[in-house]
Amino acid sequence: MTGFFDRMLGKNNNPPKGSGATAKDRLQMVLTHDRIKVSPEKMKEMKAEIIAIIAKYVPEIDPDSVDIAIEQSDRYQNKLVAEIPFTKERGAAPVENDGNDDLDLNISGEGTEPNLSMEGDTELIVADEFDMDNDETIKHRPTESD
Amino acid sequence: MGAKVVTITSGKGGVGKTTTTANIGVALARLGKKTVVIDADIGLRNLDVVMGLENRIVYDLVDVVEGRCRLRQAMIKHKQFPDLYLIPAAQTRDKTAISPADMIHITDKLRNDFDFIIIDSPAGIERGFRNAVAPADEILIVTNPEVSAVRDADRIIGLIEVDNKGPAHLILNRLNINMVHKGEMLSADDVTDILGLKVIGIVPEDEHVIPASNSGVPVTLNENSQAGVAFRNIARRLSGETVPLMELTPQTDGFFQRLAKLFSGK
Repeated sequence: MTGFFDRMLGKNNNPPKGSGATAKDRLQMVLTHDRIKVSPEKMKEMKAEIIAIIAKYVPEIDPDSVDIAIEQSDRYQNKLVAEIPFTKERGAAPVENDGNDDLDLNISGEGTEPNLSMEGDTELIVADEFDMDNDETIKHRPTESD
Repeated sequence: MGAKVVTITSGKGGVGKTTTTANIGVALARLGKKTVVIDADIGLRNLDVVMGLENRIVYDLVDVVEGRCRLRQAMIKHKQFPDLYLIPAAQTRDKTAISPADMIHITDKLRNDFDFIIIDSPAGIERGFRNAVAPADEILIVTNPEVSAVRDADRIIGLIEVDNKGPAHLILNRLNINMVHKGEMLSADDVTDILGLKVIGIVPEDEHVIPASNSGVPVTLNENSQAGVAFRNIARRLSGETVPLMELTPQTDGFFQRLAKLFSGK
């Protein structure tokens, strides 16, 4: 009964996400690009070039799952954040990335085989070279191959 | 003590710079501040008509710059508010007729005789805008809670910072609180989050504004207008007073809302 009167009174307990919220999201996106003067098209070109360069050193890179985007917390704080997964050898154990700046070697993890293959080791060492000094902007998560 | 030069700009056209300039000018004069408003939109003169002074123009800003008259001769004194003067824009098409240096020269000559010099900037980001902001001590950016207006305001903020003229303050004009409440309009918080500016005033959408400009009587003078209250509050804040932002509540005046109000004794 109260529900009926609530509706008559125009009270809305579950307001849908209106166009106002859409406007805010769209503005934040477009202003990020306006402010750093890199259009979405230029971002695409930059992303393709970055992938090509990394692929020279790390052929296992999977271009389709690469994500490069600008994070902007306010007008002055910009970060280029890249996620660059590259595929592991078939049958090798996935290595947990604990977020630290060191080699993540899963030597005695339960239920997983230690990764002893040459390629695996090479990958890990090469991956470490890509950690940049500032802000760990390039994160790499080895993914399980199918 | 010299005048404070305040430039009202926006980037986007049609957001309410001229209305804001006219109303802040009148409100400041009502507070007893000696105020001169300058229409810096060369070629598209309109501050005069919004203030009801269109029949009193003899000389304009370009006449002053080009030496055809003295500065005082171009200043129109408002009949109702003797503390308020207008320097109108020219109707010439030549945007290069005035330079930023000219504007600084003119405001310097006015500083000793006034408390406030309010400059109505044209829309855009070219010469007219640069002329208007060159002499500014303070810049007020007018915007609407609408995507293109906010985007343009952001661009203006960037340009102002490059010239070390920031930080600007924001006037959010034409806020429709009902639409905000329904989620169909950007809220004041949304706009300030996005732009990162401090607000100096929020002016609600108000149907008194157009009739006011129709008659050439700025809406600040209408005691029944919420927009008028908002403009008067902005003038008070510019004068150094601390004035809390007006509370804008959604209007719910359908039949059942009125019934509910009746029963709840409001």
